[in-house]
Amino acid sequence: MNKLDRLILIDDNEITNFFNEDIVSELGLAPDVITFKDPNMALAYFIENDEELSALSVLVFCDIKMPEITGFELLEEMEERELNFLDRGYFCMLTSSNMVKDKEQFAMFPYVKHFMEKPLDHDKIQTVVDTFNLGLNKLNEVQ
Amino acid sequence: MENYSKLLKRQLKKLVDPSAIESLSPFLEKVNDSYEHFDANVKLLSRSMEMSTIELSDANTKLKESLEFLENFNYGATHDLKNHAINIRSMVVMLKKYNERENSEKVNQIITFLDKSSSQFIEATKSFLLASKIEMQKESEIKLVNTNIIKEEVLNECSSLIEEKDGQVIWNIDESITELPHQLSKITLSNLVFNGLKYSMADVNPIVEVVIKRNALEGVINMTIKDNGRGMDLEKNRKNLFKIFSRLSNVGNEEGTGMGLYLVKKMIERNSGSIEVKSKPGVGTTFEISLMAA
Repeated sequence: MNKLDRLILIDDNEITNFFNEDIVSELGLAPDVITFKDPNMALAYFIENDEELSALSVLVFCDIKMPEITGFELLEEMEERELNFLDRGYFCMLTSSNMVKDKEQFAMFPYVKHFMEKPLDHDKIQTVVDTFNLGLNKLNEVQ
Repeated sequence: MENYSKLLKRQLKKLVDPSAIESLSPFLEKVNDSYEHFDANVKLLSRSMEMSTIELSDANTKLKESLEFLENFNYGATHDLKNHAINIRSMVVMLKKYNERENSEKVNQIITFLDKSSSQFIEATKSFLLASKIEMQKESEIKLVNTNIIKEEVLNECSSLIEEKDGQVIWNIDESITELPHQLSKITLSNLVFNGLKYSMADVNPIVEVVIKRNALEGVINMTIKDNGRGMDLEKNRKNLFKIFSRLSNVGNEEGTGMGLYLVKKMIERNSGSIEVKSKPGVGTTFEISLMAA
């Protein structure tokens, strides 16, 4: 079941990160859990470790609305730099607003497999992990 | 303009006895007058239609602008409030779990976060309410209040920050200025002083200096709020500085709604004032405000 090597959490809110870290470590999803509060730091990490990350199975939970660069802009930056990890990684975008605007953008990024409303919980994470294990494509989890 | 009575007479000559035409003359003159009257009215009407079209399109542009603002505001406010609510909910879920496990270290940490997100929730609600209030009213009613009351209110808003960072607020106000517009001064000063204290440099005690002077020549009151904080790169940030929900890249770990400076600028402009900013990273920021003297 546990095929994940690494789990990456990106959210500008420390409380959200605190909660998400707790819930994923409780589930024991991956041996490594890395959290970024600053999406620019996450981008730097993705650039620096593109080769290594592309060889691993990695799940990314990324917030959409963050100051300076949004979650989607982070993806665009990665796209511009032609990072291999974009195709290899498993991206799940998180939102708290569930607005049409976010959904429309979600549809424009083929490598984003999930789009979920916060907060994360065991069921939602299980859905992501299951589809990840089954190698399924793009699911929209927003009710 | 063509004389319609002559035109009519010419036509009638072909059809009826000329003497009859003479007797019809007064009637024909009347027809002519009404026709000219009608013509003038049509011209007036079409001119006013043109005007209304211009007015309508102006109103339409304004409506579009406020709709755009409302959409943006709605998105930002919903997102922000919901985020706080979700965080509070998440912390309660965690609190239950760790309370059962009697993990007091975690419980204490969760309570700190709960405290933080619930006060952020209240702050955000307040600023959104204020923003919609400002947006709704055409011109804010100016209520003057004693300068000392403003000072007290501003210090009150910033007291926990002053204590936490061992900060200082220095006031330098013209003696002749005994009263200031209440809402405007309170919101402007508490936001700018608060920011000056909040975005301080590491290991430097924040000092914010507030200078309020009268410029009798121009009939304005000048306010200067100067801090020794971390400053900002204005070349990069000037465009977004006063924009609603925008937060600069160097906010670091500091939480915020991105409403403060937006509200300040909006309030000042509603009162026909102006605000300028000077800043240097690592040195500090100075806001210069000019208000119409009451």
